[in-house]
Amino acid sequence: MTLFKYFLVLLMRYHKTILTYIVIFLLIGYMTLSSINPGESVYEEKKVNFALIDKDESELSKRLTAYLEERNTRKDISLEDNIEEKVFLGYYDVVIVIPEGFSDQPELHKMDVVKNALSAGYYKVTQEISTYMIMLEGSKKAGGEVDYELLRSALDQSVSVDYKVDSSADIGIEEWFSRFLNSASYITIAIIVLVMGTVMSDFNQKKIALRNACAGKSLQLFQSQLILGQVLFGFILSILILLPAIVMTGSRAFTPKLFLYWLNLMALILAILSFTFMLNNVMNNKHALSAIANIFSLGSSFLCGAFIPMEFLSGTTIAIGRFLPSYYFVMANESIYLGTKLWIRDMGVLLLFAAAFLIVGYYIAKTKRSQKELSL
Amino acid sequence: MSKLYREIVFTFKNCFRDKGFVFWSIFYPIILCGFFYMAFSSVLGERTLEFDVGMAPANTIRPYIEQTKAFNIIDVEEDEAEQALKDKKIIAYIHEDMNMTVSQSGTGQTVIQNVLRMMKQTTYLFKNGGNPAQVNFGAKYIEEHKQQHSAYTLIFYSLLAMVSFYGIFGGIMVMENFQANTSEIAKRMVVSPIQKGRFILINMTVIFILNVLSNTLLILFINYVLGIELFTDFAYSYILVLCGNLWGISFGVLIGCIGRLSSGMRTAIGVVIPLLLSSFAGMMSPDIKLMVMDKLPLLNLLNPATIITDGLYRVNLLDNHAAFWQGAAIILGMSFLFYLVSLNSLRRKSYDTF
Repeated sequence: MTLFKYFLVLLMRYHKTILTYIVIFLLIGYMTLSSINPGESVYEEKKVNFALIDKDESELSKRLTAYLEERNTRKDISLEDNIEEKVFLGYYDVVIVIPEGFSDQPELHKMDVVKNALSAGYYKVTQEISTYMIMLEGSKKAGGEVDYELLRSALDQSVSVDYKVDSSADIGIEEWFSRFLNSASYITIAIIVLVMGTVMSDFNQKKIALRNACAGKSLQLFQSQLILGQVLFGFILSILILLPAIVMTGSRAFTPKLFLYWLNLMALILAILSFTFMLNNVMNNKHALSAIANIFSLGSSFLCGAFIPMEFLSGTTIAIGRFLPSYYFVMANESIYLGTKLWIRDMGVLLLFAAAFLIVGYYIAKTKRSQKELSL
Repeated sequence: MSKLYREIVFTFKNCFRDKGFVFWSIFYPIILCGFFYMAFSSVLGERTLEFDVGMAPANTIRPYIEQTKAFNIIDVEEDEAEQALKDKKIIAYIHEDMNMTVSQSGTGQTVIQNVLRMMKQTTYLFKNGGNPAQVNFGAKYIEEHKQQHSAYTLIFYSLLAMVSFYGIFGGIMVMENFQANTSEIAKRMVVSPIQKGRFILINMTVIFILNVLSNTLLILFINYVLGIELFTDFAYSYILVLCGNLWGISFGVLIGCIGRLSSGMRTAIGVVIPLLLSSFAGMMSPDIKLMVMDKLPLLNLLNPATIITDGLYRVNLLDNHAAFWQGAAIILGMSFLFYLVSLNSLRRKSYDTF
C-alpha cells in the first residue's frame, strides 16, 4: 500500500485549499440559512414590505393605508429617497404614492405603484388595493357617502384555509438542505478537479510515471490503490460538506432524507472523480487543470440549476445542462426534497457518467502506458 | 526615457507570454460572464407571474377564478388534492365553498386566498345592502411603474467589480519579485543593480493598464456581444473601474508584503477576497446583498465591491451621481492606506542570508 500512503501524503498538502473553499461556501450557506423560516405549524398569510407616501391625506387614503398595514409590513420612506433605487436594491417589494385629489377622483388621480419585479409581493398589494376600492365603491349609499360599517363588515370576511402539512417534515430546513446541496456541487467539482487533478498530475509526471512503469506493479494494482485513495477522499469530502450543514440546522437535519442526500452527493463525487481521472490521463499541466476546475465547476453550477432554481433557466440552458453530471445531481436533490422516487433514475445516470469517464480514462491510461513501455 | 519605454514593453511582453495571466485576466472574466448570461438570460427581462392552482373541472366558481390572469388552473379532483400539493404540482387547491387547502405558506397562497376572500366579501356586500350599480369592476386605480431593469443586472455589475480587483495578482507578483525570502527571482532582483523603485512603479503601471484593458474588453463584451446595455455613462463607470483596479493592486501589494505567507496562500487570498466581497455585493444572489445590507451595514458601506456595483447601477441606470464621489473616496482612501502599510513594512528590510 506504499502508493496509497504516498497519495494521502500528497493530498494533505492541499488541506488549506480544500478548507478555504469549504469555509467560504459555508459562510454563504449560513447567510442563506438565516433567511429561511423554521418549519411552520400553522398557515400564515404572507406579509409584504411596502412603503407608502400619502400626499392626499384624506379619510379614504388613511383608511386604505390602515387596511394595507393590517396585512403587510410598512417600512419608512422619505420624499428625498430615490424610490426606484430603493426598490431595485430590495428595501421594499412595492412603494405606493397616493397623489393629491385621489379621494375625490380616484380613477383620474391614480396611485403610483413602483414594484420590485423580482418579488411576487407587489401583486398581493395591488390586489388588496383594488379589492379595497371595489368594496368602497360598493359600500356607497345613494348620496355618495360611504357606509364604512358595511365596508368593514365586508372586509372582515375570511377564507378558511385547510393546512395539510406533513408533521414529520420541516419544509424550511428541507428546502434549505436541498438548496445547500445543489450549490455544494460547485465546491465539490472545484475541489475534486483542482486538488485531485493536481495530486494525480504529480503521479503522471514523466519521471515518476517511468519509475512506476518499471516498478513491477501491474496497472490494475497501481490504479486500484489510487482509486481507493480517491474514494476515501470523496467520502471525507462528503462528510466535510454535510457535517457543518447538520451542525447549522441542528436536530432538524436528521430526517430520513438525510441519507439519500448523502448518497446523491457520493454519486456526484464518484462521477467527478472519474472525470478527473480521465482528465489526468489526457493532460498534466497544473495551470490548465486549475483553469478547467474553475470553468467546469462554475459552468456546471450555472447551467444545471445549482445556483439558480431550474424554473428560472431558459430551455437552451437546461438542454446544455443535460449533458453534465450536475444536472442529474440537482434533479435527484429536488426529487428527494419532493419525496418522489425519481432520484433513483438520476443517481443511476450519475453512476453511468462515472462508469463512462472511468472506462475512457482507463483506456487512455493503458494506451499511454503501452506507448511508454514501447519507447523504453 | 528610452530605458523606461524598453522596460514597459518588456513587462508587457512578459505578461502576455504568461498563459496564466492571459487566461485569468482576459478569458476567465468573459467565460464567467457568458455563464452568467446563460443562467440569467430568462430573468433579465420581466417575469410573468403564474401560480399553479388546483380545481375540480366541475367546480362552479371556476369561471370566476379563470379570469385571474396570474392563475394557471390545473384539473385536480378533490381526493387527489393532497397528493398534488405534496408533489408541488399545485400550490393551493380551491374548493367549491370558496375555501382552500395548502401545504405551505407563501405569497402565491396568499394571493389565491385574497381572490377567494374578495369573492366572499363581494357576496357579503351585495347581500347586505351594497350597491352593485356603483361598482365598476374594470376600473383602474393604480398606475404601475415597472423597474426598468431587472435586479439581476446587479450580478453583472458585481462581476465587473470582482474582475476590477484582479490587479491583486499583479500586486502580489510585483512584491514577490522584490522580497528575497519569497522567490528565486527576488533573490536575483535584490542583488542586481536595477533601480527597484522605478521597476516596481513600471510593473504596477503595466499591470494597471492591462487590467483596465481587460475590464474594457469585458464591458464591450457585455454591451455589444451579449447585447445587455448596462453602460450608458462610460465616463463615470470608468472612474469606478479605475478605483477598483487601484484597490486591487494596492491590496495585492499589501498581501505581497506579508512575508510569512506562502505564495500559494497569497494567491488563495487573492482569489477568495474578491469573490467574497462580490458575493456580499450580490454576485451570487441579490438576497445575500439584502442580508448584508440589513445585518452588516458597516461592511456594506465599506465593501469596495458594493460601492462599485451600486455606483455602476446608479450612474448608468438611474443617472444618479449623488453618492458617487463619496464611494470613490472610500475606495481610494482604502487603497492609500494599503500602500502606506505596505511601504512601512518594506522599509529597511534586509536579508542576512538567502
